[in-house]
Amino acid sequence: MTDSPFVIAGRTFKSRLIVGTGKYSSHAVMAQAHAASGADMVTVAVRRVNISDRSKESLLDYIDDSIFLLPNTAGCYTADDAIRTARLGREAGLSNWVKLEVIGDERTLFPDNEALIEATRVLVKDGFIVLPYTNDDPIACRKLEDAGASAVMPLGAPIGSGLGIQNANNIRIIREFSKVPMIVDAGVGTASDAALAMELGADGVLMNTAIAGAEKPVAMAEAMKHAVIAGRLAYLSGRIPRKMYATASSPLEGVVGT
Amino acid sequence: MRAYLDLLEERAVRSIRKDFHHSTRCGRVCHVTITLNGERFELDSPLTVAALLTKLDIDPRRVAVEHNLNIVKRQTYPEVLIGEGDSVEIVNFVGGG
Repeated sequence: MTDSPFVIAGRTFKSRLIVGTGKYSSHAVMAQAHAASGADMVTVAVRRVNISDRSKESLLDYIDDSIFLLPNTAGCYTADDAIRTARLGREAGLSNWVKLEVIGDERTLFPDNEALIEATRVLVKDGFIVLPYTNDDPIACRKLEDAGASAVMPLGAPIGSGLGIQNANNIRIIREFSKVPMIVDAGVGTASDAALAMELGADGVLMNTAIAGAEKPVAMAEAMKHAVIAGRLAYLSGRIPRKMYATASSPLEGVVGT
Repeated sequence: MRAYLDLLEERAVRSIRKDFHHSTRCGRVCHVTITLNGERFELDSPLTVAALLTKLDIDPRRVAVEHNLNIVKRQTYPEVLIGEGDSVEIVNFVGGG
């Protein structure tokens, strides 16, 4: 079955799986996991260079040149800090794309939607392609789209929680509301969570911890690749309606002994 | 014990050398103090962004630089001068989700 290409802001991606670069045991394991995932876009964080210790290898040496870098604004708690970080990321990466995060609470890492919408507005005016990480709130997503976001990225569950999709119905509603791609970002724990996100109509799934934190990250990356493909195919295939009782699959006539 | 004393002596000599080196290199002429990535940092004299990156052994292609809250465009690294009291942020990409 041929699928429509996965396009964000005019850029086509081969894979609907977007993966992170954090929390891996080594850069080498990360590179293998990236290859196994088939992802052609990865997120990176923007941080101060360690002035006193220049010995550390650069992350970028382990990211294939064919992979598109999406800098994030993780760790920012105000619109101003997120905007500043996005601009630094643009200069470091030479692309105008940003995964915009404005966090509102340390324990849950839930987004501050008000600040997120404000930062989206400012960055879009500044020429950015903004992919905001947001709550699973259809109204917030609508406002982000109105502010010029190129995709909406509702969470499935809190970042790094591995709880899976907590509000499947909202994810479905956001898909229905949005004209831009919807990418489920955060909360995936295992392959079935990723498949479910895609079955609900997500255009893509973004994850980090589910792969990097697995006992075998490279194998989990491969599992996620298949899950996203399977979930997408199932979504496009039109699943059967849910029914309370059984409907036999085999003919009711000609049963032996009747 | 002997080895320990030798070690102490060696440390003392190294420390004196360091002070000497510091005073000759810096001494009266060391008058440029900047804030680099949130920390106090001393320069012998005002430097361009390009010269600072060279001094710090940082590959300019891998970083972004902010000077007094303004992003420094890569092509202007050889021109933008960092002077007394300036604030400089040098960032790069690290692993993240």
